[in-house]
Amino acid sequence: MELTELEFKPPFVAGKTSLRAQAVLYDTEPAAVARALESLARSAELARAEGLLHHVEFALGDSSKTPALTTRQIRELTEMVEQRGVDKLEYQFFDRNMGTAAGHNRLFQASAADLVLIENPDIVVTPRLIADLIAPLRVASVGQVEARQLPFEHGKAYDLTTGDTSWASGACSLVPSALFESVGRYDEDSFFLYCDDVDLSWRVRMAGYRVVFQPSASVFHDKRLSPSGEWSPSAAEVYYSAEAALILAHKYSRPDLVERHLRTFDASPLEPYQRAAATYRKRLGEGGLPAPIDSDHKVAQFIDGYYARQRFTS
Amino acid sequence: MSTTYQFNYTADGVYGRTVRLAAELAGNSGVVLDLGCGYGAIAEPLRDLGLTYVGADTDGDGIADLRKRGFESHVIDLARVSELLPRLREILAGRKLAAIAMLDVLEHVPHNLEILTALRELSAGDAAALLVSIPNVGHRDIAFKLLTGRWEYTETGLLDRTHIIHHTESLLHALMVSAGWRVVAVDDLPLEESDQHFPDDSIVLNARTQLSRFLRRVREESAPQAVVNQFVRAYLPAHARPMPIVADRSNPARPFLSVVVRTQGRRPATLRDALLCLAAQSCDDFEVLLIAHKVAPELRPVIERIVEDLPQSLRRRTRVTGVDHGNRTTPLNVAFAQARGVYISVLDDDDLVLGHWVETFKDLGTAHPGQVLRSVAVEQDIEEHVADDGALTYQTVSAPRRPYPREFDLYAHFTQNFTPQMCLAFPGALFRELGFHFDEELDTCEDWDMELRAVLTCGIATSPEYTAIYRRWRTGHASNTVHSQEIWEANHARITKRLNRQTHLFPPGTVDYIRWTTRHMRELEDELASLRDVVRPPPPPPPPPVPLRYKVADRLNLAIKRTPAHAVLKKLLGGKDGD
Repeated sequence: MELTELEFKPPFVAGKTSLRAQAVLYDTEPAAVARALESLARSAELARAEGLLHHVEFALGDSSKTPALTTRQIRELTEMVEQRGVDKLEYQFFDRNMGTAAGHNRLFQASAADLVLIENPDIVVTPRLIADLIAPLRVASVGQVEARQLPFEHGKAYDLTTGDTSWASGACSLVPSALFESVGRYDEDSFFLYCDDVDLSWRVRMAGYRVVFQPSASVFHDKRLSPSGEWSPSAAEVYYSAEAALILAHKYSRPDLVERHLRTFDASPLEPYQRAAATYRKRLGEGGLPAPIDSDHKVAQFIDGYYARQRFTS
Repeated sequence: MSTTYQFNYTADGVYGRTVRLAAELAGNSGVVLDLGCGYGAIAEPLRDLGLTYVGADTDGDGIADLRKRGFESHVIDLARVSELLPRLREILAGRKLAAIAMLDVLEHVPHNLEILTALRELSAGDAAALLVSIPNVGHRDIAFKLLTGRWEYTETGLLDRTHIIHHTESLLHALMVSAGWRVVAVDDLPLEESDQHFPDDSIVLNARTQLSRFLRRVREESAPQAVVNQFVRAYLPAHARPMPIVADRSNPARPFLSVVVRTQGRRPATLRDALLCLAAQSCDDFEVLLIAHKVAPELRPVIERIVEDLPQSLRRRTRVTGVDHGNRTTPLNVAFAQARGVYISVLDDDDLVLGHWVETFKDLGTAHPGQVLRSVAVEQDIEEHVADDGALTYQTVSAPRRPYPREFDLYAHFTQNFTPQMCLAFPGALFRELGFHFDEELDTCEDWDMELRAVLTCGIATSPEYTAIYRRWRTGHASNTVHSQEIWEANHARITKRLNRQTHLFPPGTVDYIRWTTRHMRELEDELASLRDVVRPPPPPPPPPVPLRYKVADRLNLAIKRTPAHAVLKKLLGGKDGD
């Protein structure tokens, strides 16, 4: 898919709309799921009261080894959200770790809603979240709206006036279902855990739509700091983010970056980096990588290891 | 009563104060019933007010003495509660009741509540005042002596050996309210040194000892009746409201934490985000006290809407209180007085907390109950920004920094505050039991002041966990920019001056700390002195020796000046020296 010229595109939302909020669990604490769903249900309740929604449904996909929620917990959660006007709560146990990209694609298959709210499973949302995320979709050409993550904000830059930004985090963003479908959903063949959201946003932009950041739409994404006050990713997180970085550079026609990453990873004393480089080469040899796109680099941004200009770096 | 006392009337004593209250509340006609009247020390002054004094007691001597002085008096036994009301009505015989006096009586008789209830019924028709005097067993002299194991009965006074019930302010209040009396005037008798102030060489009583100075501060801050010798109060009939007379040993149901959120409503966006952080807490054992301080009328609905929008589980734990007076410290005192939590923490409406903020405090508080709790914050910069629709929002413009030490150093904190307030949780009992409150003279540094006072009283338990984000405004309104440097310095000086004046408890390890610091300072001074020696320029060379001939000439010259001839010559030359 190549970038099309930015042209007038009618807004995705005109009157009342319908929404499906979906999240992929992976050993998520039931209490965290309950907090997340209560906040989301309240937001849906308020949006409905404002006449923005005629239908709202929640969907949970479970990638855990054993179900993260018991039947009773699911029943209680269903009752809780239905009391707040949510039409239904779906729960699917995937019986394997599908990762976020495939997990969201699977959940999306069952959707008939106009809009899909993609979330992490433990995200607690501000009461006005849904209304605030829908608002920009009433503007022509806006194709994806990203929430503000708290307590630690993402450092990527956005336009203070228009909200335009390079990509939207999959921790919480709203996409019209038709657009999600037309750009090919998440690229689950290429991405397992990381960069699937960057890739989706860049394809939304290649399709001629804007990706915007909505500062008033806050969500709480539970992050803790290590004793040194910094992030301390697990070995799996290091591996999947390194692998995703290689694939994203490949997909967006940056062989120079791929080479640079491979040299760095090969030289790293850390096993996850070395393994990511090996996996990439294996997939390359097997023809398991996506065909490069955005050959003239109109959308993708690779800036100092980030996929956007940064307001600050941690 | 089995004992009759004969005490003299003094204008500033209990009797004088009672008469003053009667003059204020009893009018100038009708009967004043003096129950347990003894020798009726207030009889004449009340008669002088135009009132009809009627004494009643079990003892014949006092009754007889009153009669001799021309006053009506009756024998009555207050212990026979069931007969009390008809007997008093019989004495009154339809006359208008102006007031009832019970001076130093209730502590001698059982069934206080029943007696007070009967008197309440008697007074209802005339709305007569009840004038009461009762010794205060909470006087600091008694409390301090009890610390050393002494509880010394005396023939008369605060611990009169015949007292049956020992009253404190709270017991008196509970009795009166339960019986249907409302306090309308207070003229308590203070005594810096009560009759229990003995022996003279007591360390705990002597105001000059460090121990006594510390105890006095604790007692005086805890409740205002530290030196009240006798409660002298006037009551009027009111609706009875049962209150527990006997303490309930069980702990009241409390949330673990009361979160006090101050807002002026100017930044709804940050307030929403602060509340979002609370909605996302991993431990929900907390309540939220949102204090809307001096909020402009047009912004009040905005705050109400923000709270109304919250998820139900948080909304039902959130209370909003408006405070329209005072400085930024005032809402803290209002909120802390309302707080029900075992612990209390303050979260301003522009700061954020991580998901385990409450959980970290709770873990600490469970392991170290009663101590001040501390975790750590990072710091981040934000800027105000006006959105297209005119709404005030903000942008985060820096990565988190780590300027605050993860360990708490009390001595370093005496120089400046290294702990943002949301990293502290104070025991609620500090405020409920010890009467702590924020210093409203301070419009900055009030948190630092409270932190030091609380830690010096309770000690501190710390967690190295980062649990909060203290946000600094690069642009826009913030307390660190709206107050001048002079105000910050003046408040700083006020806090340190007061702390320096007081006697404090320091934690174990302080002696070693002071020894180490002093030794270290001495070593540094020695080192500095030796460095000065190294860099000091050499001393100037000594002057060359004076040749012998000059020394001889000087001696001769001096000898000549001392001769009479030299004096004559000097005179002839007009005072000039003849050298």
